Amino acid sequence: MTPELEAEFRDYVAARRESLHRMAYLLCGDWHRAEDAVQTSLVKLYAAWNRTRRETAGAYVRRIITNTLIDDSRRGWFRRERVTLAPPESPVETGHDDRLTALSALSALPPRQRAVLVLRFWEDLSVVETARILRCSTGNVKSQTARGLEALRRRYTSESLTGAVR
Amino acid sequence: MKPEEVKSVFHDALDQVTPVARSTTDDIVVHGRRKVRWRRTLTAGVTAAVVGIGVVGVAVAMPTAPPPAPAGEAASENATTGECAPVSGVAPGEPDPVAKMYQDALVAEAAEYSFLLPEYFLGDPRHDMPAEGFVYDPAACGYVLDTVAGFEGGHQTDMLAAFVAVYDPAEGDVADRMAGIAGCGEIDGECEWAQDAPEDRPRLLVDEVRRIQVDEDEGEPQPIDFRATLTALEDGTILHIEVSPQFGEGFEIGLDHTQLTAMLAAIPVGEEAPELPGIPGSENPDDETRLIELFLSATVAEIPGAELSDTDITFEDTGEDGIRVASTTLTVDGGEVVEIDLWSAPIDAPGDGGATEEPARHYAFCDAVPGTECVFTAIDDMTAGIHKTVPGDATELSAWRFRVDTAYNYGVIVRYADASGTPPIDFAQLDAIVDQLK
Repeated sequence: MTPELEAEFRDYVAARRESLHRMAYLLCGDWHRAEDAVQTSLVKLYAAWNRTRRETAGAYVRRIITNTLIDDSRRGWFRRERVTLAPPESPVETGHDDRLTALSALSALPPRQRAVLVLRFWEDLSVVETARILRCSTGNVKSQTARGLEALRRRYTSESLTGAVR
Repeated sequence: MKPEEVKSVFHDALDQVTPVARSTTDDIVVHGRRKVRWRRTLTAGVTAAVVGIGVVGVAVAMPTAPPPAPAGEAASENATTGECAPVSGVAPGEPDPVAKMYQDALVAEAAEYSFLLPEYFLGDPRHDMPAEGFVYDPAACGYVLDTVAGFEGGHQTDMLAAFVAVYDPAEGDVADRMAGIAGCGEIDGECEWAQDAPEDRPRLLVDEVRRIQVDEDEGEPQPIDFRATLTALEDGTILHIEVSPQFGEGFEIGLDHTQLTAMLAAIPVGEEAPELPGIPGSENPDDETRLIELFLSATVAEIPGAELSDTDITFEDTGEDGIRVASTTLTVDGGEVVEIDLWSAPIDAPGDGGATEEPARHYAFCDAVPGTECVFTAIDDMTAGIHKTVPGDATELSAWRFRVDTAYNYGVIVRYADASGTPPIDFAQLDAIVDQLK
């Protein structure tokens, strides 16, 4: 990579890293996993920088982050660990502020539903863009969106009953 | 919940926290440079090793830069993204019969040499692999498989990292493309053209040593042997297999070029792929139909006076872990309408823990909603039961059966459709329904 391209890459990382980190955190609820996923994606982006169109770099990185975190969450080994460990953000255990309630609600979503909601409503991506990142059909994105919204609604209803009134 | 409310949830989740990176931009650039160097993407677009930051990296092979722009009949280009696409026309993420055909053929041939490519190694996240086994990679313009495998009866240290690719035909001299993919002229090793190969189907044999940082804490990169064989088909398709010891320096590659060549020859490029037998992880259509019939008949039998609103129901794929749901409503004696769902999901590694409480609770989603009450019952060695109560305006009751003998988990869930309170159906009735789903 030429020094000019590398400088461009550094600027890109400096400008986007924090927002990517936030997106990754919303996807998994764990800052360490989020950072690992962001780093992995940026290293891959570096390797592809000289053949990546700048306007598609964001989609490229989002795709790596999202699929890395979804894959991690769907592994049997990871799920088994989660089963035995109560989420530290559980509002029932630790309090009922808005942040903990939000984290708890998100943690209840299946990883793919959660990813759809994050991409659609946090990253403001279209259905088509979301489908491309998740490598699925637009119909699947729509159905996952509907299910995710319904699951969140139910979760929040439940939170209200357990004391986490918003 | 409305989209703006979802945004509010996200803002709440991030409220008052600022992500602090443990590594710097310099760290990313250093690792990026190393990745480029290993993969030699600037010169060839080939394979090499991957190491993550902050985690133990393991040497694996992956495709990197795509070969020259595809041409001919074997590949097409997506007009929107500019990426290659398989002629199978299968949408990204959907099961691809060609990929399945390639994988089955390769696995069978590899087994001839006691080289086992087990499913459970495909997609191991610790090795930064694609999750699906053989997949079409639009960036590489071809089908790729990236895995780790061992030899039958062998020790764990015999395991090999294996990368296999079937690159679409492309413009340019095929021998030049093969040499470019292998990195001939750049590598610490030898590229040798097989003398017995037909002129229009060249075969390239590569043995090289790469210095790879297998473990971030180990200091200097290790020299690791890599062996690769590339063959070309008459239409310009290039097949590529590369293996290296999974545990790095000091371990041998237990496959020779003849065996690697035979594995590539077994991949049925150009053959028509058989249809896939339904969605992986689900029952076949006949089983599904029968399961729903059992569910509906058991519901009517166990809930006296209940009238089903719809008996023409099918399973809907949730897109998550093979979980499928069939839903209907029924009107009970008092005239209230109750939603009733049947959940069906394959169990991962059913033999790992037996029909014990922990996996049974997991598959019943006992931890998904705070306040949920789950009562576990060990029915027999192979079956566990869960009674679950989820609080809410409309209380949700469900009975689950976690069966390690069939490797399936079933749940029957009821709740009022339009009213609050607890539905007038008890766990004994739900048990009776779910027990008939065999």
